[in-house]
Amino acid sequence: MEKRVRRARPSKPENDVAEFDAAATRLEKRLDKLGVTEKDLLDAAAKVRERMLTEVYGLEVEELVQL
Amino acid sequence: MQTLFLDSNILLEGMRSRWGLSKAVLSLCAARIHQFVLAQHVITEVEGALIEVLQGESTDEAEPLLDDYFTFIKKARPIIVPLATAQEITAASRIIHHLNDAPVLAAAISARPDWLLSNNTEHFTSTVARRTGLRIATPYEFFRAIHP
Repeated sequence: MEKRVRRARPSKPENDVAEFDAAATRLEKRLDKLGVTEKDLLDAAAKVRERMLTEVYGLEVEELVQL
Repeated sequence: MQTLFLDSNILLEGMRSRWGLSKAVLSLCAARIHQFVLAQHVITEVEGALIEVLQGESTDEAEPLLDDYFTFIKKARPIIVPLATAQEITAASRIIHHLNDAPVLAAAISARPDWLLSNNTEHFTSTVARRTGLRIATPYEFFRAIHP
């Protein structure tokens, strides 16, 4: 018996936007509930960016300054 | 369709505000009107920031939030730019005054997007734009340019 293979249909842009909006709304509500502000996130990101040069790439700021 | 390389502050503002131009940029990428270009460096940084602010929260609170973050990113349909090499970062560090931003600039130089969007205009300056050939703008400047 011949098997039918069903190919996944590419998602429609409207559906992607709807799913994006739903995830964004849930995310925003969860951050709201925990009292996390945009400033908290930006401050945390700045600290992470400061650490990443050394932790991810093994580079020191002093090394780059001397170049 | 234009390619938009987004700095972490655009992602963070977009995820924290219900309305706003950073959220609009991401919605347009989800709608395939523009193509989101996302550096692995930015992904790691934003995840790190979320983990930092979630410290002390229970896993019942933290895990669904991180799941929503991953869906939020995935549905904006990014093209991922791999981590820059040490040589690329070194080259970028000669262009941008704030060395912590060199890996992001290096990723943008390698991706050659139509736009690099950042709210950090103190670091991603017009001089950096001129020296790299990148079109650097805030979301406001971007929308003003495409809807004159």
